[in-house]
Amino acid sequence: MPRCVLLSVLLLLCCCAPRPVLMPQLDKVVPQHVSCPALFPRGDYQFVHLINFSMPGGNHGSAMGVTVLKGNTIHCVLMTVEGLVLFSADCTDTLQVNRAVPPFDRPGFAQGLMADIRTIFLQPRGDTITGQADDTTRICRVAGRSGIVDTLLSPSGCSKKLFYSSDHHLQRVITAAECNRELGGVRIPDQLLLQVFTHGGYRLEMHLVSAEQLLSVK
Amino acid sequence: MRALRYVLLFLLVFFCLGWAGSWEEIRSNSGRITSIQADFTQEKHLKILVRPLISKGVFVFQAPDMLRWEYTAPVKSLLLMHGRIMRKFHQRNNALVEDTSPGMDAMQVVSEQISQWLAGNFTDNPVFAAELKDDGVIVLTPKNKAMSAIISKIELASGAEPGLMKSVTIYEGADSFTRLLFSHARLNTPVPLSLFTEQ
Repeated sequence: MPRCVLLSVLLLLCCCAPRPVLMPQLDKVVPQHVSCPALFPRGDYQFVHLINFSMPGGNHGSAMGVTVLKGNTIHCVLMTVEGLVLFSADCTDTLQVNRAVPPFDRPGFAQGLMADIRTIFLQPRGDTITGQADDTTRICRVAGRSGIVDTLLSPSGCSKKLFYSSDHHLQRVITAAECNRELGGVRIPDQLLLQVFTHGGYRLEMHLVSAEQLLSVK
Repeated sequence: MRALRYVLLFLLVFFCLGWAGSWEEIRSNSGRITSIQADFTQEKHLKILVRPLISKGVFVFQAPDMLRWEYTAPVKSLLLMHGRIMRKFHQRNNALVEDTSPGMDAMQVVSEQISQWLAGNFTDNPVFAAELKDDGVIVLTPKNKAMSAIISKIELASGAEPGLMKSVTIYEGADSFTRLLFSHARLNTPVPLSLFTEQ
């Protein structure tokens, strides 16, 4: 009898659990020799965003995010609107955390944040193809070492990026909106929505406060 | 988050202090101000920034323990304190929504000390040690290790007139500090109670 109950519960859980979103097959595939469209330009830039975050359980709050891309280094600072720095790190090949006040000193937070920043600001590397997922949607796909990134091309100039694991499960989605400013030849988004489906799931809404190119001092 | 509350409360208290050359004068001045309204400009200095991040806002205080700390640009944010109740709102889709992230309850602990500070008893404060310099600058340094990991010191510079603060500089480390510059201060003018309870 207990075994029947256990089986019933398991069956119920399997039925109720959300089905993983899998990477679509592409038709009319063409290899590409150029990169997929980027959300932000390559080079040395400084971006300031207002970040609204939502966590499981309904909690939400806000912070300011400063991201400086310089050479192959990413500097990032997360702070309150009042200016108190909560987290600061530099990332090249390795991650160096300069400051992390509780609860931003939790194991895995720094790695997760830098993964988000890389996802948003850096172009993935790998074999690139374009194709169609259905009759209308054009997709630029990069298959790299850590997974696959699909860029959905929109006539509005804003793109949507979907990040799949190596076994083709959807992990993150970035949706860009209001791509009206041009910087370094790229129409950058004023609004970004990052949805993460791993690590318990969370979403970040990023509103661009300022963007500027860093001019090298000679 | 607790550090932020402490900083705000110190601002609140030191606004009431005004210009003073000794702790005795500060204690004496602390009871004379019933309300303050002022504009502020916040400069955030970070080593990685090309130039400081500038924010602007409005500060309203009503003795003994009501505060409205409002950022108006470049992003909107609002902190309301009415007695022991503290609420924070942040900008979302061009509207202000209440912040429900963990940490706000820390204010409940801190607010218990407000009346003590407003009475000028900050030299006995368990969190910051206060030193009054010859030039009138007050330097606060954390007494405990947990706070010093967040804030290394706070400098408060008095304005020319009694009751007016010129600036507050919050040092987090060698490469990071926040300076608040106050202007257009109005002392002891009537303030609607709704400013401390409503957006």
